[in-house]
Amino acid sequence: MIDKADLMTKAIQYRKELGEDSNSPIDIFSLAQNIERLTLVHYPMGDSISGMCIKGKNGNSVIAINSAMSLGRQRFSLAHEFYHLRYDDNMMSVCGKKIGAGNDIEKEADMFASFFLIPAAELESKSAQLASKHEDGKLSLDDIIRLEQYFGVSHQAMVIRLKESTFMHRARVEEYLVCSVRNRAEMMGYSSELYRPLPVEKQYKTYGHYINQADQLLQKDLISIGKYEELLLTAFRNDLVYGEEEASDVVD
Amino acid sequence: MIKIEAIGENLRVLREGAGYNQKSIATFLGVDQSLISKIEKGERNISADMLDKLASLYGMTTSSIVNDVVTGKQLSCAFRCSDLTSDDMEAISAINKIALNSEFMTSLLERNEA
Repeated sequence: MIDKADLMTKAIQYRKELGEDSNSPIDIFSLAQNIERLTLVHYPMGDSISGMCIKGKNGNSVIAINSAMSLGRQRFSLAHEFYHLRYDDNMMSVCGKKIGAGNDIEKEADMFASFFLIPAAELESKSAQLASKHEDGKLSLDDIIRLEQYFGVSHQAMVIRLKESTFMHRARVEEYLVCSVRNRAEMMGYSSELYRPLPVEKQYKTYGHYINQADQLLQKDLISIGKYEELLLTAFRNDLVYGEEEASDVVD
Repeated sequence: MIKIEAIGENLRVLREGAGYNQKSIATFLGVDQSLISKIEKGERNISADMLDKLASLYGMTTSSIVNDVVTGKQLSCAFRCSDLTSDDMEAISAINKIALNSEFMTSLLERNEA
């Protein structure tokens, strides 16, 4: 039995642990960089896996996100993996792409992710404000786009969350779930970033603890340069080994 | 128990613990299913290359597969692992390899501090 209220509390509790308030939209990828001993991997994992969470000994952990999914979906997936990291006893989880599917832990993690990125109180007040502009008091497709852009989640994640909302046209849920909104979002003046995957050259990358560990080992002379490079290449950091081909930094 | 039987038994426990069938492991390694069966029964040796690939897939070091008595890992999978394609298994291995390297780096750093 999934305890929705408990998941809502956990989502708020974890936001607070990470130094966030309980209402605002969050930049979850930069938040992940603040979690101690966490390594974040971007990897295109095909059509069925959305992400993975591996908890090792000594508090080391690795979260991998399928970088071939849309950015909005990736943000949702990262919040989903946060649940495995913080509240699941399993040492390794491989998670599916379909939201709300799988065993109870997967469903709980999806619900947690939704509450984590889209805090209930904030969603309620934003929805009420948008819906009040329509005669029927319901959200239009444009309103749903405004909400997903505000909270930074994929369109499906937003519609699934709104399914139970009193402001939702129940009869239109299925239609909203499958419609592609990228063009509409662009016409409304939004960037289409949320609906697209990362550029191909950024789909393989590792950030966080791992890179720092390799650097420490090299600084302390505990590994050779060759080993250091091998460690970075295994983690798809060819850019650090061979240098960036892109334009140099701008210091400003 | 003779060593190759112990390794075979470990590989069987790991495979079953993760929910893969012999067929998907055989496809992943690019070998015949009968070879997997023979390796698990201790009738054939496993090549170092195949052992490496399986260690990454299960997120274990090769030395613990060879030297320890392993128990099934606590793996939570959103789907039946036998449904995973070889590409999915490659992805899981790549991520596991990063996690294993991270453990390895921690042990080096700790040894240095001790």
